[in-house]
Amino acid sequence: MLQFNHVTFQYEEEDFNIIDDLSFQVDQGDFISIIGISGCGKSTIFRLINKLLPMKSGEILINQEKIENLSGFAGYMPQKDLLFPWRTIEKNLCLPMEMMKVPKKEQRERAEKILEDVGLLDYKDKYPKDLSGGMRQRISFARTLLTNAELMLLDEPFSALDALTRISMQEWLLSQWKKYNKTILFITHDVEEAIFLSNKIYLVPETPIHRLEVVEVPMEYPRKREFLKRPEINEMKETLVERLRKQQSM
Amino acid sequence: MPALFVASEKGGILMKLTDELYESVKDIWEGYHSHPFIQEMRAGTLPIEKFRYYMIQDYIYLYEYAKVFALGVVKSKDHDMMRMFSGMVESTLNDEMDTHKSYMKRLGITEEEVAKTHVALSNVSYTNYMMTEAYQGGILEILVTILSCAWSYQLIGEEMAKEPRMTEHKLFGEWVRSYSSEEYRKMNDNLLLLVNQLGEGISQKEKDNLIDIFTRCSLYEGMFWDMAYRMEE
Repeated sequence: MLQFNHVTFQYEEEDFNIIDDLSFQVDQGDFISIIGISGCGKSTIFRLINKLLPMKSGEILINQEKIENLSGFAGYMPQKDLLFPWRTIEKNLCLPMEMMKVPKKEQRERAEKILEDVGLLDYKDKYPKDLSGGMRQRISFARTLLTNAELMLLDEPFSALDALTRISMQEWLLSQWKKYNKTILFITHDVEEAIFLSNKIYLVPETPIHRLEVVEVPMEYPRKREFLKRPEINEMKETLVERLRKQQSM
Repeated sequence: MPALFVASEKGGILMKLTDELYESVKDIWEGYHSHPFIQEMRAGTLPIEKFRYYMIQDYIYLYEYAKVFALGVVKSKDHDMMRMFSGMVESTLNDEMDTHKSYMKRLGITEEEVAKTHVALSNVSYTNYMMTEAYQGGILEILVTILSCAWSYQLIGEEMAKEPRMTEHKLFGEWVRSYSSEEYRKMNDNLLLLVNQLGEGISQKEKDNLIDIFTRCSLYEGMFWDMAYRMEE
């Protein structure tokens, strides 16, 4: 569904290619977590997919088509919710539709439908400040869904939440992924979160990024927390943590 | 020599009043940078009719804005302050409007069209709110009322100017140059300085009120960008 072919990218202020001849692919319906240490270039991958940065060479394809010729194929959800404080929850949800010039009546209907889906219809006329961190991230996710993009790019969306909220948000996210049948790319530096959520983990083994190391997660869906206690999963977690720690000390 | 940097103590760190004001609206202001109007301006994809709409509404806004400064002249306690406020009236009506007038020329907007333009609800609510606070309050309230627009425009302008070639953009470049200019920054630095000077030693109650005013104006700013993007009727 998503394909990187020999993609190279360099930041103007740096003297090396942070992404260097990188190829990888993501299949339809995958839930893939990209893990790597801070500053390794994970977010750069997202920004390239979003066309926020120009490639030096190579190509990125969505369903065999070059992204240069496409728009609105990826929905992006950042770490911070970026909801507008001066807009009600409903009006915040309408934003991507306003940008796509969806008629007002349809905007309202779709916003209400999705609010019901994420269990927050009662908060329609409230403002972001009236919601908890977890609720705001649900709204932010709903807003990303409303872009109607098949591919969702989630950039550490839960990292600012407390541990308990985070766990319930992870379970909630998995249920939404199944329900909407999306392809998800998820950036995190939390190994356990990556294991719990994804069917495959793409590890950034070094910077510059020449390749992503693919690790299959041997757990069935629907996932349960206790799966994490399985010996092979525990071992996998230890190995991945060790790999990242070595990089950090380098 | 006034102790400008000793406004209050919060969490062991000495904060200026303007720092406290900024802290209270940080989240709102971040929203401006990610607002589709600003983002599309930065990407150069903002439809010209939206920019045109914005220019007219903003031009109308500036006349009301100048009146808020004018109330500063009226309420000034000394002659220097009077001169300062009258200078701000002057620079709003002339310098800042120069940018607008130049755009109006380029976009074919006449004074006649402006006179006939329906002032959008978000616009009129914002300026009426500013006037109310300015009438009720003192010099400090007037300054804080003004500050949200002046200061956030500077930050938006400076942020946009970082974008390669943005200042030379054939349509938006002039706007970006104006709000990221040295003169505009200096004018704001003076405003900030004055707010901190006058804010020294005010009570918590007064400060809370200023934070409320600043927050409301910042929300109105957000609505103003919404209004422009939607071309509110």
